[in-house]
Amino acid sequence: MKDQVGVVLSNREVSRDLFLLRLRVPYQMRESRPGQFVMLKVGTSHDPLLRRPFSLFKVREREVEILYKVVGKATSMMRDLRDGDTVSLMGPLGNGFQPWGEGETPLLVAGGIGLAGLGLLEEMLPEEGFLVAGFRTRDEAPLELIRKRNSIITSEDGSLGIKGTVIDGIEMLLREVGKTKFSLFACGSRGMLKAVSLFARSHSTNCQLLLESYMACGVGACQGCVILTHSGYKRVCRDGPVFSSDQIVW
Amino acid sequence: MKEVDLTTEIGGLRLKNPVLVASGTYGYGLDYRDLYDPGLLGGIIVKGLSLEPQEGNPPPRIVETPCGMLNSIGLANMGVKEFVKVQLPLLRELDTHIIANIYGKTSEEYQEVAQILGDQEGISALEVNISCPNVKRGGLLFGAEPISAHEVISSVRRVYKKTLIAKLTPNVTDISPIIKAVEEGGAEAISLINTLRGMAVDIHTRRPKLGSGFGGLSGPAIKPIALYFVYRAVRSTNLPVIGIGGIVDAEDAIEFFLVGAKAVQVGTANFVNPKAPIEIIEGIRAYLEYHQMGDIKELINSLKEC
Ligand SMILES: Cc1cc2nc3c(=O)[nH]c(=O)nc-3n(C[C@H](O)[C@H](O)[C@H](O)COP(=O)(O)OP(=O)(O)OC[C@H]3O[C@@H](n4cnc5c(N)ncnc54)[C@H](O)[C@@H]3O)c2cc1C
Ligand SMILES: Cc1cc2nc3c(=O)[nH]c(=O)nc-3n(C[C@H](O)[C@H](O)[C@H](O)COP(=O)(O)O)c2cc1C
Ligand code: FES
Repeated sequence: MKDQVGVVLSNREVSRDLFLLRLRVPYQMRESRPGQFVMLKVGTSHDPLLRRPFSLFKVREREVEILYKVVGKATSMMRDLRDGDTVSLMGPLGNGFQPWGEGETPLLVAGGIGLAGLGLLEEMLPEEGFLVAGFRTRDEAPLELIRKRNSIITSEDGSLGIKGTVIDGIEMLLREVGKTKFSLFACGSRGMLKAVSLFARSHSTNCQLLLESYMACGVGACQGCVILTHSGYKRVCRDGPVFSSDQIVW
Repeated sequence: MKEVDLTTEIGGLRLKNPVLVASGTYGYGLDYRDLYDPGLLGGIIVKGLSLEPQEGNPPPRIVETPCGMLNSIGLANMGVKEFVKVQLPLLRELDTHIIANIYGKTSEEYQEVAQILGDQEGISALEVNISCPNVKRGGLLFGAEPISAHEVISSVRRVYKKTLIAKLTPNVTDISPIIKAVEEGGAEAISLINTLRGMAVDIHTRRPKLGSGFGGLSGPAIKPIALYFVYRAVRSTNLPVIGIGGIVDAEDAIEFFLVGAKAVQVGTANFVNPKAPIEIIEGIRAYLEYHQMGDIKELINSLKEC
């Protein structure tokens, strides 16, 4: 883990309120694992005060990409970043995804901005791997960032792909490919992750979830980011952010 | 030029520099070790320890507020026995003082925790957190009343021989009687302030934003209050005072020294800039050199009249 200054290479809108931030960093972060994140701070103002967690979407030699949605104070400041501006980023942090098992086919499930947490994993996906990405409406979908092969897109209003949720997308996939032993990797809203968990349980499928929580330190020091699991409270930043779906108490 | 002297004394404890890290913001001392050697600090105050492990409060446990944050961690910790077995051996490797922050639900519990830690090599001092609900007194904070504050500190003093620091709560109308009580109870130093009670409400769900309803405010927002508490404390006791509250840079720390603090603790700032404590040590040194002071003791309590 390092605390470094990233220089903005580009920062552009890829769909409604969704931005792709490319940063040049002094230390290479190639050792980052899929599912890991950074704690990012824009500016030196005390308001907003705390760093914010963001998944590593793509990592290249001395280059990092973050896909983010503008939802509040810090992300609005990020939207205003121009080429050459600097941010402070600390990472990589957290445990990341476990690889899929022998004989399993990886299936990534992204709900909206959840796509951001699956970027590094998507790069490692074999030919026969799948992606189901769900959005509310067409204008939320960053189409240029979604792989073309073996992917299913859903939208709740039917303006793009299949009408419905990611669960409808997964069910359609199962009908199409028939008997396949999948391993699920999901990132998205809490409601969506719960639905995917229930699906995984009823199909006896391995399922890993990338969870979110409010964070202060991001490194395990404050105990602020816990979620309830069957073995008590666990820190999302240090014990997660990736958890096996059967660990979570909903 | 001779190197400036940053050493400072807290009771029987000699610190190589006056910058410590505050309990609850630095885990058990090793979470930031990838970024710098924690041995460079004047001291490390570990997360509040209790007799038995504590799960803590339901989430969400943190929410940001203007220039600050509220937390309701609920003093979640691994328990003193696990700490001694698993963490302390790792901390002994560090070239700095380890101070254990402790708390209990009754004064007997405080005493038991103190007894366990008193026998341990590698713990230089205890910081007794009396900003906790007194179960026997219907949840009123120990530190809110002179009688219960005295009871806790004196019961710890009876079993603990090394340096004893009482950490005070700002949630009182007048701090002087509390300071007097802990002094009589046997505290050798006081540290203040702990967090201030506060809350935040989500107007869409109409629920408190914190899982337990309310929490403790920390960060830059509380600095003026903390500074005034320290100013008052220094003028009502001869005990050394450790200043805490909203310190993020050397300028903040120097303000606390000017009003009389002998050392400071950095808390919430660790989350924002993990290297803040190290930058603060460097900043104090640079300030002293610039003002041609050879020793931090020349700075401490040198506030001029208005
Ligand atoms: C491990 C991890 C990885 C993440 N990766 C990404 C990513 O790659 N891309 C991305 O866009 N976002 C990601 N997030 C979420 C991101 O951290 C938040 O959107 C961001 O902190 C919001 O900051 P803000 O100051 O703009 O919003 P604020 O002003 O703090 O809040 C705006 C609104 O959003 C709500 N909110 C903010 N944060 C959270 C939260 N953590 N949980 C529930 N509600 C919240 C607030 O209640 C408020 O209503 C991740 C979070 C975690 C924990
Ligand atoms: C997340 C968090 C956890 C804390 N836990 C403890 C604790 O266990 N014991 C204690 O005495 N103080 C605890 N504190 C209080 C701090 O040590 C400090 O007194 C307070 O935060 C004010 O300083 P600051 O503004 O620099 O953070 C905690 C503070 C925070 C933010
Ligand atoms: S954010 Fe501090 S422990 Fe997770």
